[in-house]
Amino acid sequence: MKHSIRTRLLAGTLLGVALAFVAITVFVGALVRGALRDQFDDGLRAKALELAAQIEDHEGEVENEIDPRTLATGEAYELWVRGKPLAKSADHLELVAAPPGSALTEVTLDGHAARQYTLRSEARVEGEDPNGAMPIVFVLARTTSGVDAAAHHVTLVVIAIGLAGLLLCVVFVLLVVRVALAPMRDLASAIAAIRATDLAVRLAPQTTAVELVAVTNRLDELLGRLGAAFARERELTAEVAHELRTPLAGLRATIELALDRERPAERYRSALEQSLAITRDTERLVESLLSLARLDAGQTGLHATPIDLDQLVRDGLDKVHACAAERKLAVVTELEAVTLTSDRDKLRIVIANLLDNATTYADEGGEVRVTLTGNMLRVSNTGCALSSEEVGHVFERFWRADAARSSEGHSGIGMPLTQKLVELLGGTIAVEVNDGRFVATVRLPR
Amino acid sequence: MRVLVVEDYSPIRLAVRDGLAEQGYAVDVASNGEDGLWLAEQNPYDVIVLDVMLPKVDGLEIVKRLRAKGSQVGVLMLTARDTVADRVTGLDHGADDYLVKPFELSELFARVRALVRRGYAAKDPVIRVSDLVIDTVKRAVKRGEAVVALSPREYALLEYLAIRAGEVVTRTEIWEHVYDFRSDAQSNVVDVYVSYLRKKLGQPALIHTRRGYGYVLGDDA
Repeated sequence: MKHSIRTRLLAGTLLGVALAFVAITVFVGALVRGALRDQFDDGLRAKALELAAQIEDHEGEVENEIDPRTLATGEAYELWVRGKPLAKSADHLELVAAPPGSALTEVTLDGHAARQYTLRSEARVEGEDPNGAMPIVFVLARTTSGVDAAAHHVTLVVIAIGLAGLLLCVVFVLLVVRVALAPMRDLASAIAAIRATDLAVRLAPQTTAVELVAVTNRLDELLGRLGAAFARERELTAEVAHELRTPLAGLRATIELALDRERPAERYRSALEQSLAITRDTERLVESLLSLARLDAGQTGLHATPIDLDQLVRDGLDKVHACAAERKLAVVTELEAVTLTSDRDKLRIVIANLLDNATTYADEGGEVRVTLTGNMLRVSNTGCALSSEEVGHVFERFWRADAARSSEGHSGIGMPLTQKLVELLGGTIAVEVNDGRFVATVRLPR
Repeated sequence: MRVLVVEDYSPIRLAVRDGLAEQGYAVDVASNGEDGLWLAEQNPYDVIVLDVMLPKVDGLEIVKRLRAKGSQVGVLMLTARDTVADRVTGLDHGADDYLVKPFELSELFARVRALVRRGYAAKDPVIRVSDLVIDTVKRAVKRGEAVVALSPREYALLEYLAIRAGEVVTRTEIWEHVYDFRSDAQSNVVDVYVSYLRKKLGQPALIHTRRGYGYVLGDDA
């Protein structure tokens, strides 16, 4: 789920502002309403007292002297004496006096919300009342529509201001977000401008926002790693091209020479045989490269079966027999009978590579020694000119001790491939130089 | 003309050797830098065809060492790397020319021919001595209008004498520039071939003997 930072910032800010606005509206509304009511109540009380003053009390006779003209619109009164109604401002009205103790009460006046003030007078005539009091109750009611309208108005104004503020807020936030996110847009265009051919570019110096430094630093590290990987890839491609060009050059020269003039049939035959041999070498090289690429990509599966390892080693020795004989090598073998479960094809390549290596790099007339004990296979050869420091390089692709193919079909990927395969099989491989002997030791899981 | 081929990859080494031999060159080969350097220092080759990546001593090092010792031999580098840097490095180490693998044999031959000419300060691939015309590209010889048919060895001998026309050429020089290690090492082989050549070229005689020194190719005695 993707979110826009802009939307989030906008939504968050607006929600906050709206909540604040609602709170302010409610608060201000309550405040204004309270103030208006207090003012209304004060006015109502004053008016009630003023009107009550017009009620004449003549020795027990209460007279209503209230001038109806002093009543404002929306006002009404009623007067009771000793519980009996004495006068009221309009006939249809039925005001009810509030119970003693609560002077101000909410009522309805002609269907309008109103408030009334109830005034009770104490005894005026002595001896008349058993309690010595002659209760006079005067009620003045006034509709609150004026106050409500004012409060409503205030509320509307507050809401209007709030909405305007909110709108301003939206515009402002949008602008701020836009400005604030500019470094991200810049970063995006900087990233978009990076080309695979130029990974030396760095983003950190181009960034103006502190918050993005962590991101750009990580990106720069990534670019660095990518650049190194690309450079290595290019180098490997050049190496591969080089490795393929050499046999191609041999093939071409051989064929061109054969075709240069009319030749006896055996000359053509030998040229064809030579070409076939080169083709086989090249094929093996391409196969090795492909295997290595597949191993790199993790696309190589294992097919484990029980294997007589000593027999597999003997088969491998048979294949290098001719080469060893030609180079007058003494091949010494000490092979224990070993059975283990592993991938036969991959082990065969490992063994072939190790033996091939040993017979190729041994000095003419030297010795190749193959030992198999338990899960350890050791292949060594005499005549190794590598130093102990150099020997570790044999696992680097296309590494050569003296910048040359030492002989046909040895491209500098045999050992890297062997290492990869051994590791895939769950084993380890180590190489060392011991007294002019190159020693490769493979340990396989039992 | 004598050429040394130093190349560790045997199909290229053998094809170049055989091809150059068929072109009439005396050809020696080495499969590693050490042997190549030793041969180059021991024999007055006209051209060395030199692979860059060699076991033991690489091609660049060989050129550097030869030039340091004052050798003027024409050096044609073979390289499988074709970046500008690789080519520049080769030339800067003292190589005269380079060829990127895979190459066409005929181009290699042409470049070798050019280097041979350069070695003898000749630019024209056609050598003229008196009424004798030697086309070094077609390897064809004419005396006046008459075509002279020569064996490869006879042609090689004539070409060497012709490119140094007017100079006294010793038997040793002829031996060193026209024969390689695979040639029959008979002491009088040079004299025998000179006599073959004389017969084929006819009269008036163009090859003159300088007793005790060697031979001169030219008009006057």
